[in-house]
Amino acid sequence: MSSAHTNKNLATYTGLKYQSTTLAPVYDENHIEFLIGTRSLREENEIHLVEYIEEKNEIICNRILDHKPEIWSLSSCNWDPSLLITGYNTGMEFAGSLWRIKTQEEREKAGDFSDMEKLVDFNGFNGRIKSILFDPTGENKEKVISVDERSIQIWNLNKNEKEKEAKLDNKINVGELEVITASAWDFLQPHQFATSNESSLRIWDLRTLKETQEIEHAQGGAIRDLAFNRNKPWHIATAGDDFLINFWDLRNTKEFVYQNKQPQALITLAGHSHWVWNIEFNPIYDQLLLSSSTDSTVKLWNVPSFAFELLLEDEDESDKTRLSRGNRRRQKSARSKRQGHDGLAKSYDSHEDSVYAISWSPFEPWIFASVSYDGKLVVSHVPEKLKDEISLN
Amino acid sequence: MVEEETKQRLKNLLRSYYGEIQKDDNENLQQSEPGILNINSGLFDSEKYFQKLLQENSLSKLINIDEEIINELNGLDTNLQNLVMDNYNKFISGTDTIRKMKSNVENMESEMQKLQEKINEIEKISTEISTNLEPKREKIEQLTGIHRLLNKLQFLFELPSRLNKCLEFEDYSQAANYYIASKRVLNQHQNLPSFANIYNECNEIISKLKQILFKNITTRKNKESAELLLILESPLNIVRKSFIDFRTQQIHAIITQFEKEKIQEKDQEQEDELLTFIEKFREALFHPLTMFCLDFHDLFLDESKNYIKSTNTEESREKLREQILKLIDQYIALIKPRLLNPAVNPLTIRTALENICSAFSKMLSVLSDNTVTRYFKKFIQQVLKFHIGFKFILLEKDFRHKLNEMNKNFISKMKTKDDQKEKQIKIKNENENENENENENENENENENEKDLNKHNNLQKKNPDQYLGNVDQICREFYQYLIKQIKTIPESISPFFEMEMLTQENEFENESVKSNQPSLLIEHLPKLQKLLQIQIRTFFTLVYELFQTSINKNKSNPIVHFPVKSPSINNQSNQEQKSFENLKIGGNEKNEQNKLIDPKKSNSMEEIIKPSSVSLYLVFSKLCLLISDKLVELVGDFACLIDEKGYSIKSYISSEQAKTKEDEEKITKLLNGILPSVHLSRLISEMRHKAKQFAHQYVHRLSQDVSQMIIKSIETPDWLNFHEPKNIRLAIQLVGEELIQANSHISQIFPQFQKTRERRNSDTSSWSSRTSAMLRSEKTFSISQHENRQLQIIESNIDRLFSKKIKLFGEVDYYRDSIFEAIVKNIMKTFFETVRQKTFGKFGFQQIQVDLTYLRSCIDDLVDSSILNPLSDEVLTSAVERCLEPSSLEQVVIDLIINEKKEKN
Repeated sequence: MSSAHTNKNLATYTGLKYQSTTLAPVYDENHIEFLIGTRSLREENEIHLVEYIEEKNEIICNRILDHKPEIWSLSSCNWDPSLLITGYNTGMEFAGSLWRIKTQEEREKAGDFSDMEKLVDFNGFNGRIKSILFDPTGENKEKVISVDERSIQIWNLNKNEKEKEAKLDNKINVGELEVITASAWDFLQPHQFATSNESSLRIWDLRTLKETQEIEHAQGGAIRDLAFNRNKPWHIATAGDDFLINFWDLRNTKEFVYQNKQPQALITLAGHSHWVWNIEFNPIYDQLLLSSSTDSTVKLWNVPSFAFELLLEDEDESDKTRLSRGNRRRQKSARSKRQGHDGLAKSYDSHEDSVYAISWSPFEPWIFASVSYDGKLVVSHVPEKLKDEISLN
Repeated sequence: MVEEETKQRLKNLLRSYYGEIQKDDNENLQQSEPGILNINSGLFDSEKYFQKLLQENSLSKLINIDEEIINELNGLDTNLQNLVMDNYNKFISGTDTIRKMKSNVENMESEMQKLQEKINEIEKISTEISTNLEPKREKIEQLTGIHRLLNKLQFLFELPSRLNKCLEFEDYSQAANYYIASKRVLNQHQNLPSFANIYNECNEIISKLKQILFKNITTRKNKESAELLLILESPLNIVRKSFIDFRTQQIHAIITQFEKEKIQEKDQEQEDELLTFIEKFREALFHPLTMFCLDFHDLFLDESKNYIKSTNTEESREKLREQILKLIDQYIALIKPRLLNPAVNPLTIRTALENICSAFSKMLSVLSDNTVTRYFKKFIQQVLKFHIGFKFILLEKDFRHKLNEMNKNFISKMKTKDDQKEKQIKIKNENENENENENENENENENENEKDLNKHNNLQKKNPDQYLGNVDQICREFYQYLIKQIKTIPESISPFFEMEMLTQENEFENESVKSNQPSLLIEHLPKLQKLLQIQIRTFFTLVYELFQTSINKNKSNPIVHFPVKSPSINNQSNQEQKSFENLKIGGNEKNEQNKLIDPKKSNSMEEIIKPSSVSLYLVFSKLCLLISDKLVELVGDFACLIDEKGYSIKSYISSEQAKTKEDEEKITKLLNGILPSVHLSRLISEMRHKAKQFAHQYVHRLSQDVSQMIIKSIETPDWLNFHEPKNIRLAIQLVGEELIQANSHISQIFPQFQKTRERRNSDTSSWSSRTSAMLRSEKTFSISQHENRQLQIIESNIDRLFSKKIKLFGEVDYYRDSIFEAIVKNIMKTFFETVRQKTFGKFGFQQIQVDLTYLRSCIDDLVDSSILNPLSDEVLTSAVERCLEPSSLEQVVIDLIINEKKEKN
C-alpha cells in the first residue's frame, strides 16, 4: 500500500472490441485481476483476463478467452480462480455455463486451442439472466443460484456430471406479473437471498423457499441493484431508477419502516443524476460503498453510520477478544468512523458512457474496477485522505 | 474794610482747617516781605511796616494811612467791647441757674428716704399674707381636680345615653369619637363595678353601632362606615372583606348589566356600536372602579392612619390586586370577544383601545400595582397581536384555499385525462394482442381500433386544449390574487402602527385631550413591530413550504387529504377561536399551522384528491420566482408601517424608472435595516432557491413519469417475434403527447431563451454523439460482412471521440428551452438505456425506428437539433447493436406511417 504511484489514481484499459456490461474479480491473493466479458449480439464475444500492476499503474491483458455468445452475467469463484460462470444470450435464448480456464500448458498439450473447458450447462431460463452465483461463503461448493427475470433457481453441480448439465434442485417462481430486476446472496447468512421485483425488495429463505420479508416501494423506481453488508448482518442497500441509494435494516418492523406510509430508509444517498446500476460494499471496510450509474459516473460513498463497527460498541470485551485479525482492523477504524459523516467521498468521471459493472478488488481494499458500456475499463483508487482516515485510526 | 478782613480771616481759618494753610505759609515764606507787611497776617511786623510806609509814602499819604488805621482801631475796639459784654451777660445768667439748683437738691434726699421705708412695709405684709394662705391653697387645688374628675365621670355615666342619642340621630362618627375618647378610661377601670356597668353598656351600644355600620357598609355610606369600623378597631380583614364584597358587587352589577346588553345586541353589532358600547361601558365602570381603588387606598393602605399596620398593608394590597384582577378579568372577558372580532375595522379597534387605555391609565396610576398593569398591558397586546395576526391568518387561509382550488382545478382536469389514458392503454393492449394473435385479420381489427382511437383522440384533443390554456392563467390568477391579498394587509393594519404619528400631531393640536393614551399604545409598538416582522417572514416561508407539502403529498401518497375550508362565517369564527387560543397561549401559532397541514389531525371537510399534474411544479416554480421578485415591494409596503423611510423606498419601488441590480441591493439593504427580523435578502434567496428546486423537481418527475411509459413500452413486448411495423405504438404516441403538452405548459409559464446558449463544460455527465452516417451504412449491413462491421465500430468510436460533447444532466434555467431540453434529454436517455437491455428482431428494430422517428417529429421543432440528433442517434445505434438482423425501414415507409398517423389526428 505504498502510496508512491497511487497518486495517479486511475489506469484505463481500452482493449475491449465490443460493449461490455460484466466484470468479475479474480480471487487471487497475489494479483489484482479482473475478468471482463463483452456483450455484442452479433459478434464473437470474449472474456478478457486483465491484471492491474500497481507499481506501474497500468493494466495489462493476460488472457483473452473466447466466448461466442454475448455475456449477460459473469461470476468468478472465490475458492478456485480458474472457475467462472457466465450467463449468456445466444440471440434466441438465455443460458448459462460453468467454465474452467485452461492453463497455457494444458492448451498446448491437448493441441486444443479453446481457452475454457465447459464443465456444466444451466438451461431453462425465463427471460434475461440477471446473475448466476457461487456460494459467497464457499461452504457449499456444489450450490449455484441463478436468477432470471421470473425465477430463482437453485442448482446442484455434482449430480449430473456425465451429461454436463446441472441438476435443478429447487426453483422459486415469482409469478407472471413480477419481474426480478436484481438479486443478492447474503454473505453472513447464506440461507438468505434477496431479490428486487421492480421497486419492492424481497427476502427469501433458501431453506424453506419462502418469502420472509418484503419492503414495497423501497425505491422510487425499479431497483437496479442490491448489496448485503458483508460484515453487518441484516443490513442491505438498494439502488435504482430514482437515482438514489437506500439503506435498510431488515430487523426493523414493518410499522417502523412504513411509519410515514412511504417506506423510510435508514439512510438515503442522493447524488447520481440517472439510474444507479450497481452498488457494492467494500469487502473489508464496509463503510465504503461503490456505485455506478447510467450517468457515466462511479461514485464512492463513505457511510460510517451504516458500518459494522457501530454495532461493536454495544458488545462487551469478551466478544472483542474473539474477533479475528481482520475484524480487529475494522474495529480500529471504528474510531474514525464516528467522526466521519455519511456522504459522497469521491465521484469518478473518467467514463464516457453508462457504467454497468463495478467490482472491488477482493484482497486489495483500496482498489476497484469499473467498466462502461463502450468497453472502457478503469481501475481506480480510494482517495489517499480517506484511506488514511480509515486505516490509520 | 473790617468786614472784608474778618471775612478774609475766616477764610484763612477755613483754609487752615482744610489743610491749605501750609500752602499759604509757603506763599508767605516766599513773599516774606509782603507777609510781614500785611497787617492782617500773623507775621505782621509793625516796625517794618512803619518803616516801609515811611520809606515809600508821601506825607499826605501817610496821614491818610494814619487816619485809616485810627478808624480801624476804633472799630475794632467797639467790636471787642460788644463781645465782652455779651459773654459777661451769659456768665451771669449761668451763675444764677446754678444757685437755684443748689437749693432744690437738698429737698429730694428726704423724699427718697420716705419711699424706702414704705416699700419695706409692703413687703412685710405680703409675706405675712402668703404664709397665712398656704394650707388653704392645697385644698383648693384638690377641689378643682375633683371637680374635673366629676365632670369626666359624668361624661362617662352619660356616655351610654349620649351614644344612644348619637345612634338615634345616626351621628355615628360622633359616637365613635365619644367611644374612642372614653375607651381607655373604661378599659382601665373596668374592674370597678360601676365602671364595669358603663363599660358593658357602652360596649353593647358600640357593638350595636358596629352592627349598624356593618349593615351600612353595604350602602352608600360604605366608605365612612368602613372607616368608622376600623376606628372602632373591628377586625381589619372582616371590614376589608365586606368592603371589598360590596364594592365588587356593585361593579359586578355594572358589568353584568353590560353583559346582558351584549347578548341582546350581539347579532347586529356595528362598528359604531362597538365604540359606543366601549365608551358607555367605560363611563359606567371606571368611575366606580377608580373610586374603589382610591377608597381602598385611603382605608387600608394609608399608613399614616394609626389603625393601619404595615404588616397588614401587604396583605391588603394583595387582596385589592386580586379583586381588581378579577374585575378586570370580567371586564376583559366582556369586551375581548368584541375587540377580537376580525370583522371590525382596525381604526375602530384602535380608538376603542385608546379609550380603554385612557380609562385604565388613571386607575392604574391610582393603583400603582405592577401585576395589574402588566396584566392589562398583556391584554392590550393580545388584542393588537390578534388583529395583526389575524390578517395573516386570513391571508394564509385564503392562500391555502386558493392553493387547494388550484390543486383541484388541475386534478379534475387530470382525472378526465387519466381516464382517457387508461382506456387507451387498454385498447392498446388489446390492439397488440390481437395483432399478435390474429395476424390474418389484422386489417379489420386495426380499422376498428383506429376508429376507437380516433374517438379518444378527439376527446383528448378537446380537453387538453381547455386545460392547456389554463396553466398560465391559473398561475397568473393565483399570483395576482395573492399579491392583492398581501397588499391589503399593510393598509388595513396601519392604524396600529400610526400611533407615533398621531401623538406627534396631537402634541401640537390638542394636547389636553389625548395626553396619555397614545403613549400607552406606543409602548407596545416595538413588540408589534417585531410581531409583524415575524409574521411576514413566517408567511412567506409558509408560502413555499405549502407549495412543497402540497406537492410532496401528491408525490408520496396517491391519496391526498387536503383540508378545504369554506369561507363561511362559522368556519371563520372557529378559526378565530383557534387563533385566539393560540394568541392566548402565545407563540403557538405553529401548532395551528401544523394542524392545518397535517391531514390526520384536521377535522374539517376533507377531499380526496388524486395526484395532481406535475405541471403544478412549474406553476409553483414560477410563483416562487414571481414572488421573490415582488418581495422587495411587498416588504417595502410593510416597512412604511415601521419607519418613515419606508415611504421613500415605496415610492421609489413603485416608480417606473428602470432599476439596476445595485439599486435593488441597496433597497434590500435599507429594508433589512428597517425590518431586520424579516431577513429579506435571505428570504429572497430562499424563494429563488425554491423556484429552482421546483423547476428541477418538475423535470425530474415529468421525466420519471414519461420514462416509465417508455420503459414499459420497451420492456413488455416480445421484440424477437414482433410484427411488421404498421403504426406507431400507442405508448409512444402518449409519450409524444405528454411531451407536447409539457412543452406547452412550460412555454406558457417560462419564456423562450433568445440568446445563444452558454455551454457548461463542467458537467457531471457528458455524452458523445455518433453520426447517423453509421446508421446509413447499417442499412446495407449483413452479418457475414464481418470486416465491414469492425470498421463501423471503429468508425463509431472515432465519432465518439470527436463529436461534440453535450451535457446530459445539469442545471436548469428559467427558460422553456432549458427545461424542456432537460426533460427530452432525460427521456431519450431512458429510451436508449432501455433499448440496450433488450434484444430485437428485424421488425422489432423497425418498430423502434418508427417510434423514434415519430417521437422526433413531435419534438423536432421544440428542441435544438444539436441536442436531439445525437440522442436519437444513440437510440438508433443502441437498437442496431441490440438487433439480430438490423435492416432499416426505408425512410419513405416511415414517413408514410407517420404522415398517415398525423393526418388521422
